[in-house]
Amino acid sequence: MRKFLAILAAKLVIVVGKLVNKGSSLPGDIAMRVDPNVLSKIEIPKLSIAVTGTTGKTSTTQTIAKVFEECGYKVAHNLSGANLIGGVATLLLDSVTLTGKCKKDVLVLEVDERYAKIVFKYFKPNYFAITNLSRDQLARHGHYDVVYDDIARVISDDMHLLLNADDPFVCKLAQNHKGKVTYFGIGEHENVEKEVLMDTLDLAYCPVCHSKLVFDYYHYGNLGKYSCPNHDFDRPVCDYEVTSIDMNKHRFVINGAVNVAIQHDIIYNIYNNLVVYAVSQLCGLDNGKVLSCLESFNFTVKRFDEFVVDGRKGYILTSKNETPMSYNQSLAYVHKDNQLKTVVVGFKRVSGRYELKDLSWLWDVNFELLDNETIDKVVCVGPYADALASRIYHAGIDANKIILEPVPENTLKTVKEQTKGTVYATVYFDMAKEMTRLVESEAN
Amino acid sequence: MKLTIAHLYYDIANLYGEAGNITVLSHYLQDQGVEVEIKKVSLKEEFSWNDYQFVYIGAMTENNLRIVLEDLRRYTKDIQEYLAKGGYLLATGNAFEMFGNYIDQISEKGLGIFSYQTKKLEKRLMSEVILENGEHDVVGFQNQISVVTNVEHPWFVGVKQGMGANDEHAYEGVCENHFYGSYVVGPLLARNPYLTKWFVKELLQFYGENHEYKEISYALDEQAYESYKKIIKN
Repeated sequence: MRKFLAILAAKLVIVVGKLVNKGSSLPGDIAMRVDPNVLSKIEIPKLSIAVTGTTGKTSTTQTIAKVFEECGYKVAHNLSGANLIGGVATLLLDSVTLTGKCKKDVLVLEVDERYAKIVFKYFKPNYFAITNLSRDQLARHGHYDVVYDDIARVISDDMHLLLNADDPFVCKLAQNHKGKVTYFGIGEHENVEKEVLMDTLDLAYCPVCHSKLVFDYYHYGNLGKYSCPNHDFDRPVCDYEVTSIDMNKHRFVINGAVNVAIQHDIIYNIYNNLVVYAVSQLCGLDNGKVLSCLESFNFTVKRFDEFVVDGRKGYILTSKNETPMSYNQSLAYVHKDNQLKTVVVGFKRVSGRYELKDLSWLWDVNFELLDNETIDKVVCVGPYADALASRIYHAGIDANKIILEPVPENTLKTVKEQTKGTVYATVYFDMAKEMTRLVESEAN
Repeated sequence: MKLTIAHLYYDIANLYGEAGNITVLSHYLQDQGVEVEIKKVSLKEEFSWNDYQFVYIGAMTENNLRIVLEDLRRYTKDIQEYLAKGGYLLATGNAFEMFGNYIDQISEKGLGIFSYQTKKLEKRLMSEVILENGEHDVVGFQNQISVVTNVEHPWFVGVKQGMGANDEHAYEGVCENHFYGSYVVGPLLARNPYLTKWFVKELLQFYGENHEYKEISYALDEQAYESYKKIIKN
């Protein structure tokens, strides 16, 4: 009876929520208050896929869900980041009948790194993919080993793991795993980095013998081809490896044979679609349908956008605060362009999640990449403009190239009046939204 | 005048942004006309303490604390000699715990150079912190799983916000001759221009013979410091 009431409560709140277009975690939270064990009493789809990791989990799960839908499956999926327990509960309760019978064929779940230990109490996914792991949200997690330990302890031998072979920290998870593991990764290509850009690898040493890992090359951050001098911990052989990339055409090839499309010329999108492809093959989906779905797929959450202002081309590259890996990728993207450019950096809040305002992470971001003649100006915006300016100054950028704009609403005006070249806004979600708003109101 | 700075365990004791300390300290020293050489040294590598005037170690995870401590033990005597002759050693976050007597959270003996010891906290402590340090407070972030007791000479004499060395909130950090330790993680010097200037002055005085310190204003750094202090102040 309690179970029934809990499901009913969730469904009612979901209906109301849809009417007012709000709240994805509330229905689940309420149901769990009515019956704390409701999730273990309902049926879970027979096939379940969970994805976690520091970056890429939202895009990856979204694409997996889409691919399954295209292949005729009924999919339960937590859209765009509702990845804490309430959001997951809402999703699971929405996918069953009032008696708890499952209405869906497959569960595609984005799981927060720290919440897997709660979510997996109620069900264990058949497939568990880990995209990558790197330093992220210090003020929330404590440090990266805390995150690692939380993921490691939910893994059981009956889960089929999909691990990023290029990320040693992720591969460490396979050390004690006796179940199945499928590895994916990107092989060497002409644009790999031969030298490490930052010394902040989160696993620089072999976890077995503590020798320094030797990298033949890096893709970005801590991803690349590594080995231990004693071969106690080498990059594993990939089941799904990217063997060539054509960034101009937005395409890449898996295992020398499968030609796959990506959105934009951004390397992390390759990892996302690589995971999608690997999952689809493991689950026996139709190869042709999967590939054609990837040709036309558009994310609902945009991390990359283009605009034109005063005849100047501009890009918005959403970059996660407190996640240097995310910021560094945006800066690497800016760096590829050797024409004159202006870079906008900034955020209104340090975190969208909590009130702590730590800024240590700014010193793990490779702003040194902006130290060259192609940079006209760096515009630091928002309430933390001062701190950004100080960091960028010590990255080697001339003080007279640095502009402080504490008022986010004035960003575009300042850019137009005081800067030259292509505009790259490598900014946090809140400023990306602001930039989009400013660009759109400019266009009207 | 030339100074050689070591960023020790740079690739494993680097919880968040600690490299910024070396970057900013060396910029400030260079602005004083000092030639600065930075060496990055880590696990299992040869390290001769006599070659350096300033050694820095940053914060790390508990797993890495165990690994680094094991490596650092071989230098116990060298470190004692280095400190006895006035060498500078800055250890931020849990790095400074290694030089004390006992580290509770990993159940390991420290190097025993100083008499303090740590006590594991039940819950990780994370907070912005404002510490009293003469004319200019020190700002930063604490992220620790332990507190320290038996400190003979604290570094910061008052805690205006955040957690002190232990429950009594009275002080923070450790200072013994030219050894400086603080639980503040990350870019302590990068975010505190006045503290960095103080270190620069100290280094010029101690190693510089007749190298005179000139007052330089760092507008961007000082603004960043002031506005951050305002933002985090309760």
